[in-house]
Amino acid sequence: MKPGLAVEELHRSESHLTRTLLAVSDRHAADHEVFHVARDLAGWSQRHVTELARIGRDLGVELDPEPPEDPGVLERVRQATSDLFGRRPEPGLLLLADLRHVHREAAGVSLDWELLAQAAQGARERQLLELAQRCHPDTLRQMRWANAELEEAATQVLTS
Amino acid sequence: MLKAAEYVPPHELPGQEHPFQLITGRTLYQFHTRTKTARAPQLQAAAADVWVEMSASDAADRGLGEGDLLEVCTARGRVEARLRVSGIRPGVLFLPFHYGWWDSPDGQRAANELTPTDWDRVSKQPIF
Repeated sequence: MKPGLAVEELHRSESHLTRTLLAVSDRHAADHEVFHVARDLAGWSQRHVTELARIGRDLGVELDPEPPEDPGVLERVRQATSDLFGRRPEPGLLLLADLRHVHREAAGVSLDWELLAQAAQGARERQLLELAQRCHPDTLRQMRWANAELEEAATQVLTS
Repeated sequence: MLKAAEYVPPHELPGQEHPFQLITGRTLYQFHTRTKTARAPQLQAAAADVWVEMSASDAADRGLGEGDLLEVCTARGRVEARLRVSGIRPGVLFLPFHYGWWDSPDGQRAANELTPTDWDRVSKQPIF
């Protein structure tokens, strides 16, 4: 059944966003606000992953209910960012690149929630729709956070 | 304008190792780190050194009395202070943050060393 597909895709993108947020938090441990808030926001995605795995079971999709904790994929992102800005990236620029990355990933997750909600509505899957309505606002706030942090940091980084 | 925000659990909660919540604050007689007020003899005499406040029930449970020397520590540091039993809520300790090293180089009394660097993400208010 197709809603299962949407759940599977969302499970993948939320897991990825979790790893991204945890890695961004680790990488900017000296920036206390980024460190703490990125971890809090990763907690939301971890919760979504667990809930998606639970609802996936009812739709016949086997998904890992354990949210990711290791930044394995993120190693590659870190590499890519380093390549972009040279071997020892300026921390300010790195932060901008990381926040931009968080925003884009969260935007992808947001679209996936939109798709899931549409599928749930079409298939009259009430529980699925309720899940989307509960979780999607969290994703939108994750995006808004990345955007707001970018606004706050960008001027100084890019004009100094 | 008031905006509603959801509850977010604290990043550190009391546990086995650190059973109390610590709050820091001021006394009427001193300002910040006392670089001015400690030079006014009357103000300095009114509040000359750091103290720690604890509720009567917490002190009684531990057999502690007014004026006992306590060590207050968190994951980040420690302070030695005399106990004042006060009307504070059980489970909470209070330290004034005015006292540091400039006039007491050997003392362990800077409460600001104990608190985490963490603030509300919207208002930027420190959490301690």
